[in-house]
Amino acid sequence: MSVAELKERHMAATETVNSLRDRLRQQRLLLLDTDVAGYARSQGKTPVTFGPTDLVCCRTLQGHTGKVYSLDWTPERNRIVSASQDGRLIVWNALTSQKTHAIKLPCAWVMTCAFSPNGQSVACGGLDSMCSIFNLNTQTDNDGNMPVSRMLSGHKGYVSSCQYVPDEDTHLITASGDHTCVLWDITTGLRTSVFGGEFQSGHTSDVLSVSINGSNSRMFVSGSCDSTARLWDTRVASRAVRTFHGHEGDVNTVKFFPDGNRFGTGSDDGTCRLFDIRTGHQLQVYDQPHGDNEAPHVTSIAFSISGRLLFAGYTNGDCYVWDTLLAQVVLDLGSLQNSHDGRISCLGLSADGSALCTGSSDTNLKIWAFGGHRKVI
Amino acid sequence: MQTGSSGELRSVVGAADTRGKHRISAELKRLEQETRFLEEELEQLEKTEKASVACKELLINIQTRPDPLLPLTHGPVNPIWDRWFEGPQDSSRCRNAIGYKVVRKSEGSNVQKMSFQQIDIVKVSDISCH
Repeated sequence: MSVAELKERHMAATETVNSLRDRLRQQRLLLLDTDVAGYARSQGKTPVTFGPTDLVCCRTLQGHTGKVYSLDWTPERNRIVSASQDGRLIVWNALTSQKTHAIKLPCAWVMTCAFSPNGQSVACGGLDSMCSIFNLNTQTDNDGNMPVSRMLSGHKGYVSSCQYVPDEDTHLITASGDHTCVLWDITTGLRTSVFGGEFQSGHTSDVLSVSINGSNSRMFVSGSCDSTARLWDTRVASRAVRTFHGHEGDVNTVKFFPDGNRFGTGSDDGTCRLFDIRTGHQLQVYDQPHGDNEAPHVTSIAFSISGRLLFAGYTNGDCYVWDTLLAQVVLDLGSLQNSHDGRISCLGLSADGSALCTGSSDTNLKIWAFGGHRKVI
Repeated sequence: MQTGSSGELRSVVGAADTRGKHRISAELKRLEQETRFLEEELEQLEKTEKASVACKELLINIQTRPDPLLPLTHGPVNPIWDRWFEGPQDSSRCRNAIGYKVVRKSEGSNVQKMSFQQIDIVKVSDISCH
């Protein structure tokens, strides 16, 4: 076939794909008979109301000398690992505010960190395109240098996000600027599977975030600069199970909903969204004017343990607490006393759901918990 | 092949395009594969439930799970949730109704005053419990 003929077929195929996507969009709209807020209102639900001293900052973890980019809690209750522009990982006991480890990284440009399920290792990645694993039982020298116990190399772009597979200390998933996600076997240092990429169907731009389903660890979602989120089955690397359209900008953050059948996203378009993995429906958009001329971008999200609250950090320093059911902002942690002085770059909920940790460009981490009077149904 | 903000593909193949045959062929294969995936998805959509079914399930799931960060929640409540407001185990302590915590160390007269509204842990002497 000549180049000219190929080009014609290419144009025709492009039109076919566009037309199919349009039809899909329209068919989906017909099935969106309600959103979550509409349904909840029809059931008589009213928004969560917080008193002025209900959610409070009960710890400020100071120690980083640069912006905090990422944080992760251990599955057991109280420890956090954080990664910062200062080129260090710090491991904290959030309850006592003590630092148990301060690791100087071989590559200072770190973007993400994660705790292993057994709490004995931490992983980090960044502009070096690698994911480095540190065993916390190893000593650091006086400068904070700790030998890397494993280097996972193979990505052709920065590592933006990483997460250990729940209950598996030997496997983790990374997201990368090379448009792929990778499932790694840490014991061998090899890639078990590559999701997307040049020869497979996947994201068409940098992947910025990954979240593994806590109820079914074979499923994970990824968010990308291509404005989509994709659901993957780790057994099928050749194509995504489903692609979720809707956002109009980079999807910076994805997080599975506690029940494992839905996930949330946050984007440069200023909105968070809730998607259903089985039907593919966009169930809710969380969008509220912030009083700025241009909507600030969503940098990070986390759900409370029941899913009733959605915490969202924004580039203007706001940290909205959304009532997930009623799609209303019920609190702004960014406006509370003792809040961060800069944008919130990362959020994470403790394993038992009793505390939220926020990390900020002001170099601090803060722990938020419920200090009011709790009523039990 | 470029993706616009609405997800629409724009073909960038133009008269003056000098890209290689292999590259165009590879992109064509990707488009044909994408077509098949989209057709499959359209078929699946005919058997897909409406959004209200998922919303109903979501409501039930949310309402039955205990949540430490909610002012009104299902039980059971775990006392460990409040550990963020407890002092060290070996100190006597008392709690102020508006959220101050005063902790007196048993071995001396130094007292740590820990306030939810303040960042610093400040040592003051002999503050009595409220």
